[in-house]
Amino acid sequence: MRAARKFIAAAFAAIVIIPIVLTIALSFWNGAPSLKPWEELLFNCFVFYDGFWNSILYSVAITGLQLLVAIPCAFGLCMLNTRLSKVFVFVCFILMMMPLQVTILPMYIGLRDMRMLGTRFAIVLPAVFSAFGIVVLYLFMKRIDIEQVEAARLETSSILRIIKHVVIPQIKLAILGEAVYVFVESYNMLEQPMLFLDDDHLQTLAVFMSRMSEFSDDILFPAAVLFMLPILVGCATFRMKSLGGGISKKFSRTIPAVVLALIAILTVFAKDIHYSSLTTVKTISLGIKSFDIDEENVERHYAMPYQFSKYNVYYVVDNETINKEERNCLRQVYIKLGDVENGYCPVLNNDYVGEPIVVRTTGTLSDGQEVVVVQRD
Amino acid sequence: MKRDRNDRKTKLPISWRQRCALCALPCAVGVLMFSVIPFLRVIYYSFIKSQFIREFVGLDNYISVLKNEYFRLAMKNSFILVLHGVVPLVVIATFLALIFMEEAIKKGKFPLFYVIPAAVPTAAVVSIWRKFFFWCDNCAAIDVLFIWKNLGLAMILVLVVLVSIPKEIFEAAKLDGADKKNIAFRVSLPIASPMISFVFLMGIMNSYKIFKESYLYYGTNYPPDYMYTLQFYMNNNFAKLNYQSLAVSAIYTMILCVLFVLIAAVFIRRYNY
Repeated sequence: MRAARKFIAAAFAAIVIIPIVLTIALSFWNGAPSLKPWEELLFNCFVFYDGFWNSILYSVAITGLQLLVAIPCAFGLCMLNTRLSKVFVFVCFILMMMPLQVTILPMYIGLRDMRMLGTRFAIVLPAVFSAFGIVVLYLFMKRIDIEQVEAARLETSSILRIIKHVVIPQIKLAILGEAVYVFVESYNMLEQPMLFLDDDHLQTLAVFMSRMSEFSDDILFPAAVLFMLPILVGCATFRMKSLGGGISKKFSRTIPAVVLALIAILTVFAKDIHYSSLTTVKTISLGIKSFDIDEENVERHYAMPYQFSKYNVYYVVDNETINKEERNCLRQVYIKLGDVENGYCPVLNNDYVGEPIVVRTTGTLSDGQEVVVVQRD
Repeated sequence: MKRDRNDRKTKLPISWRQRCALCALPCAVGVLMFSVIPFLRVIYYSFIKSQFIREFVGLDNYISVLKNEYFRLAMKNSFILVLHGVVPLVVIATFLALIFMEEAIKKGKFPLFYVIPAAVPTAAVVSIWRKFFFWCDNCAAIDVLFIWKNLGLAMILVLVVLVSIPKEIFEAAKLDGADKKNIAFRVSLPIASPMISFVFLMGIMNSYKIFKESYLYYGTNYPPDYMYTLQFYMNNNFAKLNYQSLAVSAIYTMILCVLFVLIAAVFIRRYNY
């Protein structure tokens, strides 16, 4: 009986951990064990960094701001205890129970009317003012010691001070739990950025991953590993903290900082490392037209050899790729097409200058094909 | 004169209750602006012909959405998902909680390790699923993903209740000659049943969120018919900017959710008293 119980526990643990371990293992696999997928992701796929930092930014902003507004709100509602405040909490409770399918359309309409669609606020603000935080904190605050609050009122008249010194210490664990939940949920967010944003520079990692899956499985696994890294590091440090000890306490702060710092360094230098591995291609470039639209805002127009549409896929390849016989283009680029004149004049932003850009609908290139090279000045 | 004003300042012009209200206000206004007021507009949208022709059409939109075959397919799938996704989830979670109970009581700690899948972002694990479930042409792949993600948390929730049962109850049962199986079915489970129904409710709520999993898994807005759930229907209507059917299907979903919550509330009540 005891052995059976142990076996089930071990099996459950294995089921929990195997998909995660496999993801990590497969990120080092490219037909044979190799670092190629990682190289591809870190030094050849810059859209990844945008998504990663956007995801972190949104989740940190949402968690912080939500605690900032929801704690005073829950405390205020708790103290007021009038009919109106109770009705409001009930409305929040109903909103909290609603699945995203129900609430996302109201969110969309609200954001549209406030002209926030397509901005970062569209992601952050609705999540900050979510009913969930209010209800959970309200329920916990109902259980705190009112007499302590009354006693504190004799000492100070500042409500914020009472919240800081009397209320928060009593429900610290509940607040921590709520913060973790909100962080995880907003880090995992997919529907909102997909529907509320159309600028790729603002998009989150989850949306990038869903798009990347269309063209390359290779870089998907390293991207997945980096995507879950903050969460896994968080879990590990939490575990260390619960085990206690002075050293682990020190570690629990430094490890997340080190991980984020490493990714930040890569974000800054990956492009330079990428460029340093390129040699200049001169021959294949086609009718490049470069001119200024107005004095301050310099934009380049490049004449493309043939008609293309907004829905074509663009690949950035390195020069080696162009000069070999047949190859796969791994990196997909989303270029914002500005004023497309007669269908064949895209506006490339300066991020892509210096990289050969191929306009094709599939991911392979063979010799003799026309490739547009945007030369760096 | 000046001093008088200072005095008033220390006395504070607004009362404690007003300050409480002031504290609650920013967030309350935010909720009203981003959720409640737009929600009222959604209800309004569901009764008009279109955004441009603001003509009251009564229940026409409601009927036309009900007649839409994709809406019916989506509804059917969302319902079936409760059967083959949520029910196994709750059963397995309860079973595991019973197994982990003794150790949790002994150690006085919960195995929080098992909650990790709930925290890992879906987009990160879905690629591994695609790699190993490529042969799968029914909804099993998504079901397994759903159960994998939610099992740990559901188990912990049941476990919390089981651990909090006073020892005397078990001892009394043992004195009455109950064996382990009897204790589990006659003592532990009935006491934990409000929590189990809560976990069931939570599972249903999470099964509405399964869009994320299947969207990432199939990578398209048009998955196979057996996985076409409500959010796909709504997403595709978003793409067409068809606010009327969006509003109506949101309201239908809301009614369903309220029903589920009410049923669960009745269950939880009944067992509590």
